Amino acid sequence: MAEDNLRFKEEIFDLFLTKKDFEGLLKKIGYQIDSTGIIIDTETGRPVKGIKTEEINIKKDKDFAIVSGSHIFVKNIAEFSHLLSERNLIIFKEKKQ
Amino acid sequence: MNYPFLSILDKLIDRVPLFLKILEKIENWYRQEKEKILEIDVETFKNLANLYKIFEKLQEEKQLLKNEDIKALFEGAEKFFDKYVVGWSSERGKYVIIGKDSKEFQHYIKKIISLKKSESKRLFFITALDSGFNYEELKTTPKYLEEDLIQLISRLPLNIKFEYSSLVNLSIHVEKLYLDGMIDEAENIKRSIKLTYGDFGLKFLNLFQRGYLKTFLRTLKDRDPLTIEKEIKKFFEEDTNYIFFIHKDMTIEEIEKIKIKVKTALQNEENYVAIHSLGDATLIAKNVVKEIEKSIAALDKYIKHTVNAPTNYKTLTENEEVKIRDFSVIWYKGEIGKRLFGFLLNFI
Repeated sequence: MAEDNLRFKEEIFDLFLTKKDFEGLLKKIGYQIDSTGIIIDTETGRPVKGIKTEEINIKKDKDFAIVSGSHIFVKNIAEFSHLLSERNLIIFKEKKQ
Repeated sequence: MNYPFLSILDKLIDRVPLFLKILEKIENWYRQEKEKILEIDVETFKNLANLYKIFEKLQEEKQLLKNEDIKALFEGAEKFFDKYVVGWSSERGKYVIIGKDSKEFQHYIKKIISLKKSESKRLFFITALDSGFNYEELKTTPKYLEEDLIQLISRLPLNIKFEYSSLVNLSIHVEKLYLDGMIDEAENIKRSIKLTYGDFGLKFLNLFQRGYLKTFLRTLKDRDPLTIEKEIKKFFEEDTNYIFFIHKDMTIEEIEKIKIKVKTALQNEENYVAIHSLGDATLIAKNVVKEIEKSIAALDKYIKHTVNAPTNYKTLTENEEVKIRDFSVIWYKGEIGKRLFGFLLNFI
């Protein structure tokens, strides 16, 4: 088991899931989806929010994502870019003329 | 019945053998190498993402499964997505396929649950299969910019730095999608820019795409950081107030508003007035310009510049690549007008 953990630490994945798997995963990791499609944190009973916008609705916000560390949600790709920017993770390289 | 989808389906039938072959290859590999993680190339990943889009459509249009080939593809895809997930391994720098019942995947789920209360700084994401490619491109692919622009972005005041850096990142990505003919994906990202950054975000993107913003920012490279913000504010809120971008999805009311604003700007002899359009929107823009020029008699104070030519942007039709046309009309005068016109000339 200890060996497995060690091995896992080396391997971090970005995951691209089907809608069915994504909904299943959300439930497994502590969220519910209400009848309108809004994602609710089961622990707090509150809707999860994007980093710059309001709550996330899986029926409307088809491009949303969970970004870990600590379960940050982004509503769409522009919010993801904003998060990368805040963490200084955007890589600009010099364009040769 | 969704008729546009039927034409996609015609093309799909040709690709069924390719998709089935990919699925079969993956399955064969796993038969021998259980528990392992399979590395795949970008093309295979894109094919799986496309297969997923088709699979989703077929779930809505079940009558199409009467076709034996399509049915075989649907069932193959269903089996695949039941057993495996697709991902990206930062360590390997590769797209991968992971068995859902593998130890790696089970560990991964446990890890995600535990991260909820942690302060982990490691950045990885989970999203839908059909949006994954754009997320991965933004996260891992460097964006190429002129050195002076990179320097300038790093010197921006903190209150605007994150927003500008993110918008430059997105603008470069959208431009690449247009150059690669991935128009739907580009439009989708534009919608998310509007949702996140409002009209300012779209204006930023349009000005960047047309060269105005890139060239303007470069002029700031030697300026005192304290004055940069003021100058940027003036650029967005004054200098570029009469640059209009016509989009094919605009409503009649929105187009009418632009007409009125352009007419007023020309009557008030503003220094720089421009209408830009691309692709299907060029027809709308041509009519707008015709109407404006009919209603304003004296435009002799202006130098007029018209562009009506193909760009390097392209759209992919069934059999060929078609270059997207640009139609733009610019009326400019004086030093300020000339300066902005100079910014535009850097457009591809």
